[in-house]
Amino acid sequence: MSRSPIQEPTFLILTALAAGPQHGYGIMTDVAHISGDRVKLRAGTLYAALDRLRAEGNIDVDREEVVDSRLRRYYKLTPAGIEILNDQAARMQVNARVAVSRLKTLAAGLS
Amino acid sequence: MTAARLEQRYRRLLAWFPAEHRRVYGEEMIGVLLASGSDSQGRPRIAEIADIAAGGLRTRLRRLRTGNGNPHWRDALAVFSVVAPIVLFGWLAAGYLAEVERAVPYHYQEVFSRVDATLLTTLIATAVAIAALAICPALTRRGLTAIAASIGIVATVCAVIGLVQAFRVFAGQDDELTLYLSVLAAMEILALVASPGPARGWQLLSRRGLIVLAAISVAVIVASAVSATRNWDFVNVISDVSGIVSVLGVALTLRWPVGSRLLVLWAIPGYQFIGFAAAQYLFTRLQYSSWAAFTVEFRYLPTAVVAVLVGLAIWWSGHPGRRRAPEPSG
Repeated sequence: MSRSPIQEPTFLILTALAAGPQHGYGIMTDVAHISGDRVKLRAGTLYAALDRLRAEGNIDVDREEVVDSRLRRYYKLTPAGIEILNDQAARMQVNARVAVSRLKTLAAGLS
Repeated sequence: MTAARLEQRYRRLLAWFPAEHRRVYGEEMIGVLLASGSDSQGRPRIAEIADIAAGGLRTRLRRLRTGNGNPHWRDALAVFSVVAPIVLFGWLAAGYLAEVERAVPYHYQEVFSRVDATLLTTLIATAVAIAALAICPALTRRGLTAIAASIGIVATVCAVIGLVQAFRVFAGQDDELTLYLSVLAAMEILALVASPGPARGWQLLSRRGLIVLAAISVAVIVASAVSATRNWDFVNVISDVSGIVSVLGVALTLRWPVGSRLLVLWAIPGYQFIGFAAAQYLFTRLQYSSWAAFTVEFRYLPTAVVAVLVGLAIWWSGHPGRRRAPEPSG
């Protein structure tokens, strides 16, 4: 089943969680790392996205901890989330492969 | 001390998010916000404020759209979806009558040369507005209702713009009028999509509230027409009464959870009233004989009176906590 493309921050959040359960701050830093500091999520955007992804059943709470008297909640991908990330990654891969191939042809024509 | 104050400020900012979201994620978000800030930071950064506001609004809209929003907000949107077309029609008719009455003694030749086209567009707009109102409660499917009402609203806005161009009705207010109608139309469509639908709005308004609404609409149209007589004493009485009723209406409506939210919704297209009319009302009272100040103030009256009295009508119809509102039908 083909799905409509998801936004980049959502894709990066799902990608961050593909490495294993992470807490909010961990997701933020991992997203910045994955994107080479190009995408820097802030708390408002992150927790709006986490709430939506949880409501859609793509992520779930893995466990909760209290560190320095602060709640730390770890999130994990659900099977539905894994499927979405898989679909999106495959779609992007196909598009990228076509783009690279055509760029090579273009470069060959120019030289 | 700085950290405690910063935390307190972050907590206040989180009010952008729905209460349910804050209950689930609030503590966690505070932890993340504090962890991502610097030690010397005394207050939230502009970018953080904008991000929290945007995230909160997105979450609220999504919850409304998916039916998981606060039921009071959804009910307020349902009432708004019914009332907005009434106000559109009231605004159109009131402004039309007032301007025609004012123009006739001075430009009668011009008036009568264009009266046919003006009358026609007014009749079309009126028919469309009434048809939209009649259709809305009959339709139970939200999508169809939104389409029907959107067509009605767009047609009404087009008719108003036609009036402006053909007859210079609302002359000098073109930009404000267009903006007002555009915001009202956009909010109407949002209300139709995000609420349980106009059927629920009608249900909440009840027959008594609707009769009051109809009476208010007629009264406002008559009051605007009377304003053209330039009987300053009489017009000032109307101004005073509308001011008193506005304050009373707001005070009473705030007692009802749906009513208070309806007022917040109404403040968005009605910012002209909220922001300017109150100040201009005071200004006019100080400069009693100033024609310029008077005209600026009075053109907000139809919107102001209808908008605020709607709240009063709803309260009066028996909903503000005196009896339990019926459950949503859909």
